[in-house]
Amino acid sequence: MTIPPLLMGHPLASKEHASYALLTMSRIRKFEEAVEDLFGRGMMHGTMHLSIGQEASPAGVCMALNLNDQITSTHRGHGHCIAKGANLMRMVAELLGKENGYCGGRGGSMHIADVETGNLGANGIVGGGIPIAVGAALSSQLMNKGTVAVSFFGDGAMNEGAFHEAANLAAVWKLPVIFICENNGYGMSSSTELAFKLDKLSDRGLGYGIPGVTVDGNDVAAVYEATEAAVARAKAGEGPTLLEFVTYRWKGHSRSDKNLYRTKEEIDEWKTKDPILHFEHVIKERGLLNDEEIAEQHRLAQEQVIGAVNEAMKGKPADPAGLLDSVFKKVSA
Amino acid sequence: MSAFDYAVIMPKMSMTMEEGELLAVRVNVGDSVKSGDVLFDVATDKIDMEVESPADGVVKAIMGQIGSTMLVGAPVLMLETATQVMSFDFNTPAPEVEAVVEVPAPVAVAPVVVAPVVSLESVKAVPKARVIARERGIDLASITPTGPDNTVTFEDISNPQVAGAHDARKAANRKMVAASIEKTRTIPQITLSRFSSHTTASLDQGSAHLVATWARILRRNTHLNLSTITEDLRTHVGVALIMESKYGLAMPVFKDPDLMPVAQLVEWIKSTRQQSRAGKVPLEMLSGATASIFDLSDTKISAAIPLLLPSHTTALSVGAPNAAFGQSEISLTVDLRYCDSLEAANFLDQLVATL
Amino acid sequence: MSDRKLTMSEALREAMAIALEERPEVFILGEDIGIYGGAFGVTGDLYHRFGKERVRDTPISELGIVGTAVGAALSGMRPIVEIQFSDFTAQAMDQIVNQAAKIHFMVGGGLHVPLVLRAASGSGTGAAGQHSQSLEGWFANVPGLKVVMPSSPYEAKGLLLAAIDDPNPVIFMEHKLLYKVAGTEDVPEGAYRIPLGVSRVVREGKDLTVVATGIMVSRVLAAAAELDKEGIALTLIDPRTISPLDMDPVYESLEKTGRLMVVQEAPEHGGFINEVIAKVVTSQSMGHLIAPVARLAGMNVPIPYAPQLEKAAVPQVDDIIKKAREVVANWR
Repeated sequence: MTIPPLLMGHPLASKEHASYALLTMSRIRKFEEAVEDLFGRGMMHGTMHLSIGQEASPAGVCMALNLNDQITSTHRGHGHCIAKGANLMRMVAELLGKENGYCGGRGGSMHIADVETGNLGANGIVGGGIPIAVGAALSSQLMNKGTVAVSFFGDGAMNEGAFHEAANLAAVWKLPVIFICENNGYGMSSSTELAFKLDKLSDRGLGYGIPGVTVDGNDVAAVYEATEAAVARAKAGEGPTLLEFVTYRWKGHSRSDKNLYRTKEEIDEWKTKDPILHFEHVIKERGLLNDEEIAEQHRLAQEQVIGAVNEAMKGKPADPAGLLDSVFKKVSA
Repeated sequence: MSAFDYAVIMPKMSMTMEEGELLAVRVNVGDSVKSGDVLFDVATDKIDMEVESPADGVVKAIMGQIGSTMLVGAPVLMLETATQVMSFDFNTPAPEVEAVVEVPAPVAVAPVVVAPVVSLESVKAVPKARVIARERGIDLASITPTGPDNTVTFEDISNPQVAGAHDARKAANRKMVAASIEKTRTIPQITLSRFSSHTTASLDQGSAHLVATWARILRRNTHLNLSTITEDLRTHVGVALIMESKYGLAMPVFKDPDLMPVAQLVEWIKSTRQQSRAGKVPLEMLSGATASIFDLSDTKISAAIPLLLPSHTTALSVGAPNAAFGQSEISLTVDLRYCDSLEAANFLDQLVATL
Repeated sequence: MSDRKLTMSEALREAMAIALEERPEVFILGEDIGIYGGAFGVTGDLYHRFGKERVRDTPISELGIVGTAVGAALSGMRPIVEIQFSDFTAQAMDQIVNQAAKIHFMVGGGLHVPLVLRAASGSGTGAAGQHSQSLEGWFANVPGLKVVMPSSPYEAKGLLLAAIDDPNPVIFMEHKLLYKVAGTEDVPEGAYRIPLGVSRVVREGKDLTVVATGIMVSRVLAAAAELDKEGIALTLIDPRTISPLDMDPVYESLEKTGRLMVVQEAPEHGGFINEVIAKVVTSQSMGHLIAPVARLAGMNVPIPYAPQLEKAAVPQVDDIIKKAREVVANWR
C-alpha cells in the first residue's frame, strides 16, 4: 500500500490537486465504512464515531497545511488523522487492539496521534484539544517555527469552558492557531438550535476579538479557501481565526445511536449534499477529471483501505506485559 | 456497471452485544433498495434498531428467519450492489477474544503456606510477636500480655524467660526421657513379638482398642498392676500412650480405660493428642501408669522394641501393617521380676486374639 | 560562598532562573507572575530578568493556562505553570488529569508532556476552605502524574530542577507556610538535582519511624527535638515525591524500630499517607511491626477560618509529640 505524499494547494488548482482531494475524501469514507463493517462483525472493541458525510472538512483543511503544521482532533477524528497523512494500516491496527497500532492498543479510536504528521491526537474529551492547539501555537510563536496549529472540534465543544479559555488566550497573545468548528448540527442528540442562541456559531469570534467565518463544510474548495486565508493571517502574526464548517454526519453519534432526535427525511436531504458527489460534479464540470479518473480514485482508496485492514489483521494482539512501562516516558540519564 | 454481492449481517450495535433477534424484514427478494433504506429490524438486550442498506442495490436472497436469534456477523440477507461495499469476512472469531486479556494468566505457583502451628485463638499480639511465636513455636496464650488492651507486645515475647523457655523445655524433656530409660536398662526384661491383624478406621480407634484391651489384661493380672518402685498395687489401671507433643514426646496416662465405652475412650485419646501437640497435657494424666503403649500403626515403621519406663511392668509397641501381608508386628517387653517369659507370651496371645 | 540560608521562595526562584538560562524551551506562565512577582512572590524579579515572553502573565484562566502548557509541552517547550492556589487546579482538572497525565500512554508513547505545574498548597494563612487545601492525594491517584512535595528550600531547588528536566508532567506542591521560612541547610548557588522517586532519611532514631511530607517534615523535626530529651529517638523519612513513592527506606527502618507513624496535613479519609500504611501492612515489613500504625492527618473537614480552628484541623508539633510518645510508651 502506498500513501500519497501530502499535497498542498487549492483542490481545484489542477488535475493533480483534484485527484488528491477526491482520493483523500474517498479514503476517509472507505475507512469509515471498513470500521463500521469491522465493528458490525464484532471484530472491534469499544465504540466508534464515524465522520461519513463530513469528509470535505479534513480534506480541505489539510490541503492548506504543511506537514509540520499541527492539528488537534476529536472523538470523531479518523478523517483528520487520514487527511494529515496517517498510515491507514496502523490506524486499523489500533482499532483492532494490535501491538503495531498507533497507540499499541492503549488508546483506540479516540486517541490516535501521529507525531510525524503533526497530529497531536484525537481526544475523548469534548473541547479537550482546543487549549492544546493553543499551546502548540504558543510554542510556534516562542520558537519562531512559522507553523500554525489547527484545532478541530464540533459544535458541542463551543459550549465548553475550554473553548472559551483557549480562544481568549489565543486572541490576547495573537497566536497562530485556527479554531475549526465542524458544525454537524448535533452534539450527540442536542441540536444546535437547543444548544445555541446563534444562527452562525462563528459569531462567537466577535466575543474574543477574532474573525469568525462560516462556510459550507461540504464544499472542499470553500473549506480550503477559508482555511488558507486563516493560515495566512496566522502566519502574518495577526492571530487566530474561528471557522465554522456547516456539515452533517450521516451516521449516528456512535454505534448505539437510534437517531431518535432527527428524521429520516433530514438525513436523506443531507445525503443529497454529499461532499464527495458534490466535488465530483464540480471537477467534471470544470473538466479536471473524467468519470474513469474519478472511479480510479475510489478504486485506489478502496484498495488502500482493504490492504490496510488485511495487513492490520496480521498484527500481534497488544500485550498486557508492557502496560506498566508505558505510563511514563523514561527519564534519560 | 459491474455488480457485487454483499451480505448484510447481524451487526454489533453496542459494546456488549453478542447476538440479536431478527424482528422483521422490511424487504422482499427482488426489491430495489437505496442506500439508507431500512432492510430489517433487530432487537438486542439494550436497544431495538433498524438496519439500513449500506448501498443502492437489489435484494438477492433473505437468509435470516424472522423471530430467530442470530450471532453478530451472521448474514441476514444478500444484496447485489452496483458499488463495492466495504466487507471483511475473515471467517475468524472476533480478534478481541485474543487481544483482550483472555490470555490465561500464567498460573502462579503459590508457595505452600503452612498455617502457623501457633494457636491464635483470641490472643491479641503485635505482628512481630506473632512472627517470633511462630518461629520459636511459642504459644502466645502462654505469655502474659503487658500491652494496651491485653496485647502481647514485642517485649513480652522477647523476655529471656519466654524466649528460651521453649527450647529449654524441649531439651529438658528429652533429657528426662533419656534418664528414665537409663534407669530401666539394668532391669531383667524380655521382649516378645508376633504378627497380628490390626486394622482400624483410625489411629485413635486402634490406640483405644489397644489401651482398653491391655488395661483389661492388667486388671485380671493384678501382680502386673503395681508400681515397681513402691511395689504397691494400684487401685486403678493406668496405661500410658506415647504420643507426639510440642516438646517432643508425651506419655499421658489413661486411667481405667477399660471401664468406659470405647467411643468415649476414642474421643478422650483424640482430644489428648491435640492437647499434647499444643503442649498442654492435663496434670492429672502425667502419672499413675503401669504400662506404656507405643502405637506406630499410622507410620511406616514396622516394629520398635518397647522400652520399660520406670515403675512400669510392661511395655507394648505396634508397628505399621506390613504392605505385603497386611499384618502388624506387636511387641511386648516385660519386667522379668514380675512376669516370666511364657506368661508374657500368653498375654501377647490374649491381646492378639482380641485384635 | 558558605552560609546560604535561603527561603523556599528564593530557592525556587533560583531553580527557575537556572532552568530559564540553561534551556531556551523553558518558560513560565501563570496569573500575576510577571510584574507582580507572583501571588507569593516566588517568581519575583524573573519577569525583569527574562522578559514577558518567557515569564508570561496570563488572564485568570486556569484551564486555558494548563491546556496551553500541555500543547506547548507537546510541541517542544518545557512550560512551568504556576497556579496561585492549588485549590484552583480544580478549574483545570480536565487538562491535568485527562490530557497531560494520559497522552503519553494513550497515544502509545509517541508524545510526551514535559510540564511542571507548581501550586501553592496547604493551610495556615487564614484563607479558609477554598485557598488552603492539600490536594496532592488527588494527583497521586492518577497514573501518569508525578507528585512532588518539597519540605525545605534546599530540597525545593534540587527537586524543581529535576522536575523541569523530567519528560513527564510533574505536580509540584509547595506549602505556602514554607515560602518565607529560611531553611536550616545551605542552598548551593549553582544547579543541583534531587532525583524524583528517592526518599530521604532526614534523621535516624531507634524507636519510631515517621513518614511525613512537605511542611510536616519540619513539624516532625521540631517534635523529634523535644522527644530526644525524653529519650525517644525518631527516624524521619521524607518521600519527597509521593508518586512515584520510594518505600525501601521505610521498610529498612521498620526492621530497626518496629513502629510506624505517618503524618500528613491533608484530611485522613482517602489520603495519600494511607498508601504508605497499605504498602507496609501488605508487605513482609508487616512482620516487623511491634505497635499498631499511628496515623496523624488533617480532620475530615474543610479548612476553617479562625486561627484556633485552623490549627485544630491539621496536625501541629504538639500533636506529633503526643502521638509519638504514646506509641513508643505503650508498645515496647
